[in-house]
Amino acid sequence: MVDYLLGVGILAAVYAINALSLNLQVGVTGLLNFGQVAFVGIGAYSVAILDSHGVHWAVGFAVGGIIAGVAGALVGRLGRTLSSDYWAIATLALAELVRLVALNQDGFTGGAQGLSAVAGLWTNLSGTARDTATFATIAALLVVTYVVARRVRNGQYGRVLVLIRENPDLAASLRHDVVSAKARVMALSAVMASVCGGFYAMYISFIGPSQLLPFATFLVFTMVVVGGLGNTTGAVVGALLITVLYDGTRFVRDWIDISADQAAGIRILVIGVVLLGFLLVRTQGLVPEKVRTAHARR
Amino acid sequence: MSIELRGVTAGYVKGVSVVRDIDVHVPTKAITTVIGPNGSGKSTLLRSVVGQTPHTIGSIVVDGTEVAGVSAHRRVIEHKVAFVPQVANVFGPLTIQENLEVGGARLGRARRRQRVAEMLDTYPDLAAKSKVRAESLSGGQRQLLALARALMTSPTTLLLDEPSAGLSPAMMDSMFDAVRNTRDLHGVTVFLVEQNAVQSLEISDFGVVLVAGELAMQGPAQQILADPTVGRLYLGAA
Amino acid sequence: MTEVLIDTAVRGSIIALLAVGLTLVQGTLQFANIAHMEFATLGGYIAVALTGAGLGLLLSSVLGVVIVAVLAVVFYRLLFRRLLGSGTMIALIGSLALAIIIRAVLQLVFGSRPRYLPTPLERGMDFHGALITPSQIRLICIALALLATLAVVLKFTSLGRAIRAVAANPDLADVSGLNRKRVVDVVWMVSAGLAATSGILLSIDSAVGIELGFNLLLPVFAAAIVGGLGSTLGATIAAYALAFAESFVLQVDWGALAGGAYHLEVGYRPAVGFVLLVVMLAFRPQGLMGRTVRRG
Repeated sequence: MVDYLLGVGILAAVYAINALSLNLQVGVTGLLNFGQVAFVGIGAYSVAILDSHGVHWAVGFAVGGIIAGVAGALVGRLGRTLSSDYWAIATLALAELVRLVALNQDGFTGGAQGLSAVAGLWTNLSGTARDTATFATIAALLVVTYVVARRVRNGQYGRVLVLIRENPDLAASLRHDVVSAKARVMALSAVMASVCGGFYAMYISFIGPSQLLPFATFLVFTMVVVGGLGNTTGAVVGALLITVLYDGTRFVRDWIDISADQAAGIRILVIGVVLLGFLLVRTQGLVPEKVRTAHARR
Repeated sequence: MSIELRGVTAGYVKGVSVVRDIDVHVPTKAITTVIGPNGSGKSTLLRSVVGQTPHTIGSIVVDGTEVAGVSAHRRVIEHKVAFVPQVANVFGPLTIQENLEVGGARLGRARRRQRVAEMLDTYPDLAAKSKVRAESLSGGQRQLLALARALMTSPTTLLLDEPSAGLSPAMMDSMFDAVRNTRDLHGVTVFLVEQNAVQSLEISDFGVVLVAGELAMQGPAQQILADPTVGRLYLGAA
Repeated sequence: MTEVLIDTAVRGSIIALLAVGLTLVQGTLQFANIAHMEFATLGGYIAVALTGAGLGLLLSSVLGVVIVAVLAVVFYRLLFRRLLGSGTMIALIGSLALAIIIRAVLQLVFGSRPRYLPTPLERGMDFHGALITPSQIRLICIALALLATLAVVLKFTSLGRAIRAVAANPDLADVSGLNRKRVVDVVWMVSAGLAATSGILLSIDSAVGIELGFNLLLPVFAAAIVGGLGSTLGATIAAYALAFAESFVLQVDWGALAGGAYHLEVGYRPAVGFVLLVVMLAFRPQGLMGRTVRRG
């Protein structure tokens, strides 16, 4: 039981970092990144590929962070001339491109099989002790990410980002460099996501293209919306709840007699219904953002 | 036909209503002009009559019928109201002919064809370009097309939002002429909002002065033109 | 080369039928419906279910199209109107959620193995050195006929005029006495119907799987955006151009340029669309036939 709880806790913390990253983009700045999983993938593959060549994981994290950060800044700049919905589709396309590369460059990424036996954390420990240490590490990382995200959100820069979301023309007319602000928030979020990805690959000691499916992004969107778009604490709350829910539905076959296929369908269905339900009935989420007022919403 | 606004409050921006508690009588077959400084709520008042910015308090009675809760397109069809917005008042990618046809979408095919011909007859400037996309027209021609489109349904009440905005002085004259001719020929009740107070009041029968969302004055147009306070504030008189 | 052309005609038709619908909805509501592609998947599966219940292929297909069209209006009225009330961003996320839900439900009901429509075994015909099946010829003809009909309806009928008017200026359409809600209903029915047709044609040509719609998402969006969102003619041209590019890129021996032999992996086929899309978005966001945002 303790091991199970630790497992869920580690997963929830990993997702919470991911949700904090996505919330900075979608919730705070209004940048609809449907390709979040690409940043996670860059981090995960960097650690895994370098590990398979015997390079220490810390280097993998650094390389992944740099690649993701640059990619994030470029994607943020791509938004310069685009309306938000085109940009959203472009991010989805880019993420699929990353997945295709991961799937087809066998020599590098292990192709469809992915890369397994990625070195884990705390390999000198074992059993519950190791899980506890891993949990403590990721929890510490989550706290750091949370503090950073909160400072960004509540600082001067965060107010500019919110202004960009609510009224980009006004932001530009107040002489804020909108493009650079977007590029920077994308870069920062991408680094967060890649760290999350690197850690994820180490924890489950595997990364493959099947983990880069758009559903992975969708799951994190659900967390952010359920928690409350734009609210830093909400992202963590949403991540915890949805992780428990999604992980819990793994046991659906213990309750009803269905095929593995159908069970997978039910798990996805539950998440989809939760997201759509929140969008329809409680758009502001469980922990609403404070600046969102009646006139700011369309 | 006549429009009766009683205690109308409409529009909502950051906790305040744009126009408050307005009582205005727009008599049948007359031209009534609303003037007032920028941001006085003139356009909001006009849009509340057509239903684009529905009023929240009070009543708007068009030709004896309360129109609260009636959607814009039904006010146009059932209450014979026509509206010409200030900007974006034509369908840009559609040709002039198509613009007119959309204006008469609810008419029968034969009647629609007849009205289009009548409109092109009335406005020869448009007839010459009937197959041209509206977005390629000049400002004055667009305004004329917008007016013609609104008249397709043979409305009894015509609402115009700053018809002279952005036009050259010569264009303005012909626009105001067109408005007056419309009334004279078809007996339409005209309710318009104008920035150009002198010229619009000169063709009008009645005037309404709006200041900061509240009714400041209403009466015969000549009386308002002659009023010293109004003159000093809005008519640019010395 | 004939092979490339046949491939282009088949795949281009499938993409075009979806892209014109996507662009119509985008034009009238200023909102990109990600769930649009799922109407194709739904069409395929409903046809499978109806033929499974003993109906003929033609009847099942027509019924499938009708059912999907009605379903689309229900989705619009119950979900999208409300979502759009909270803003386009919420509606966009909501359409993604709906897409996921539809896919999950189909997986639950039909399982994840591909399903086949009962089509008679056909022999491919030799066409200038390449094979083409009668069902592929039918697919191309039906698609072209529908696209042409759509173009005629949009251009010459009062319904088409109303649709273009609502797309050009929704507020003015309202005060011109057009019933905007009804026009939008019709647009949803037509686009979903075309999407379902595309899905059924594709299912007849190959098979229907859960991922049928999703696999088309990016090429369809690429075609709609490259064509200029809101322009059905642009979307159609872009769809066939994209299909040609996809097919061509895979056929060309890129290695010959450098003196070796190298063909791009087939797995990269969808990438052609992405690359085209991203390049287009970066350099000409208004699309081929698109106009810059200017109303009235």
